[in-house]
Amino acid sequence: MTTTKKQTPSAEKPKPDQSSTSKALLNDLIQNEISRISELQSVHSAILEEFAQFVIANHKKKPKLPKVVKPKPLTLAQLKAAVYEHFHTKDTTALKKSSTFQLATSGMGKLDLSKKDGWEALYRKFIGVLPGEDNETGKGCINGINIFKYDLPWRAFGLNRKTASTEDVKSAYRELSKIYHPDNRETGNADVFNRLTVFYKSLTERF
Amino acid sequence: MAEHYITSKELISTLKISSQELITIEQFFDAIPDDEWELLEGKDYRVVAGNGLREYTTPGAYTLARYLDATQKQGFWEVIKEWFSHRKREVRRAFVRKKILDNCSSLVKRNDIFFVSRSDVVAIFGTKPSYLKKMSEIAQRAEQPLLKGQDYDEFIDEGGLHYSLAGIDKLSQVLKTSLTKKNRREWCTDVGEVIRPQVKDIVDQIIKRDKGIQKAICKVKRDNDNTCQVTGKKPDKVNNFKIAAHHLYSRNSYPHLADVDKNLITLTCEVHEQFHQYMGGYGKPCTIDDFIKFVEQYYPSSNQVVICLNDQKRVLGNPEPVNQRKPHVLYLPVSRVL
Repeated sequence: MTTTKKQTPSAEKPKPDQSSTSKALLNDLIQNEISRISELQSVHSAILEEFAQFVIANHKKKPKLPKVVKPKPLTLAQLKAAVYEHFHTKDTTALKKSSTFQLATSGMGKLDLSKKDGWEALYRKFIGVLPGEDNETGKGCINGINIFKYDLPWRAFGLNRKTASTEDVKSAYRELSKIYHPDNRETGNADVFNRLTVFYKSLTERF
Repeated sequence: MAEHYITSKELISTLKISSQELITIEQFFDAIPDDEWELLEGKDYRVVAGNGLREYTTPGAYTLARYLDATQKQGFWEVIKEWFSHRKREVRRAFVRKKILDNCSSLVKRNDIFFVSRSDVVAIFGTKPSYLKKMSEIAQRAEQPLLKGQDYDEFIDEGGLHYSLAGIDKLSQVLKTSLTKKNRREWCTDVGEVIRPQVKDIVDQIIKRDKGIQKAICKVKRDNDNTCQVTGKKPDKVNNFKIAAHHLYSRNSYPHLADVDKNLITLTCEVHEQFHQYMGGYGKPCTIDDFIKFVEQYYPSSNQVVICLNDQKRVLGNPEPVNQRKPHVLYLPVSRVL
């Protein structure tokens, strides 16, 4: 990979890490500070000198970040195909005529199936998480999932649905409430809090 | 489930044979008793007409298909087996649909979502309340659990917990994986699959019925020349008032007569209100006898109306009121489902 090549130090340049043999000369200012910390914290001055060498050698080096590969979004045709399959229909006309589809989407508000957004909304509701939306950040995103787009309360609460107790749900809700309750002037948000309350009630309902 | 019969017409179309071929096969089966090929009346078929026309049970139709596979159409059996399995599913779904129809009187639309009461859901799945509770708790642990306001909700005015159609679908998924008996598993799976189309058909029928009532009201007003049948008054440009169409047998207690012309009479709103006050309020059930008594008491000179009412009473027979606590879903007021 090209990125690896770029980050590999060339032969001419000294290797900027602890194993480097060419050490920089530490000036008086640094030497004095090493002596002061060494005395104060009872740390051997050699360790601090070694750390100072490391800082000098590496302070300009950018940390290696894992390459984020953005998943390719589904095409309109792929979205449609998934929705058709879910509702056992062949095309949009049949889908719109399907009474199962009509009643399944009756609580979703107005769906514009002439745009990709409408199909994405259907995919989120009936199929699953869209590629690229399973680690979102921003408004309404908690633990990587947008709570307004998805009905995934266990995930939003960061709990294991198989093992979490009612107490765990309460505790998670309490922690999130501290952040999103409208009384919190800095991070509070009524819409997010209301949605979290629905999630909380749903997970603690005694049927 | 009751035995379901397949007509000869349906059978020849499925087996892709002519009616004459079917008759010949039937004759062959009947000709030699106690041989390999046997069809028993009562078990495999029933005779539905004097000319010997038959309707077949599933085992009877299977036997005919097997015979065709063995003697005439090689490889035909696999195709026919698929048809039988599809048909069996269709028959089962018809029973599921009927079950929904008879146990859906709590149907109500809130926030654009249809809900059905817990007790109706118990009846539709053919389970027990305790088992439904257990299944709901399992559904609560699903990745997409039952969500309040979407899959279920608490309606105090409607008597408690209701499940939405989406909620019923989610429960059906849980029941599908939890039940051990095949027939129960199939039933519960079918509930999830047919609940939406069935409710759609029910709602369409309720709307259609309401339109029928409005049509009957308009017709009666038109036939009676928009005139009050008790007082003979008719609105004009000087004395303008509204004419009401009164249900002689009240709409709620006798919903099956709500769209019958003979069950309607045109009255001025004044007389209409006077009658319902006499009965103790608009919500109180009333019959044609109550109205006759009212006319005799308050409008004794309107003898012609009493004669007409007695004639209408004769036509309407002696109807039985429905159980108002649990009316049939088809008699629900349209306002519940719009």
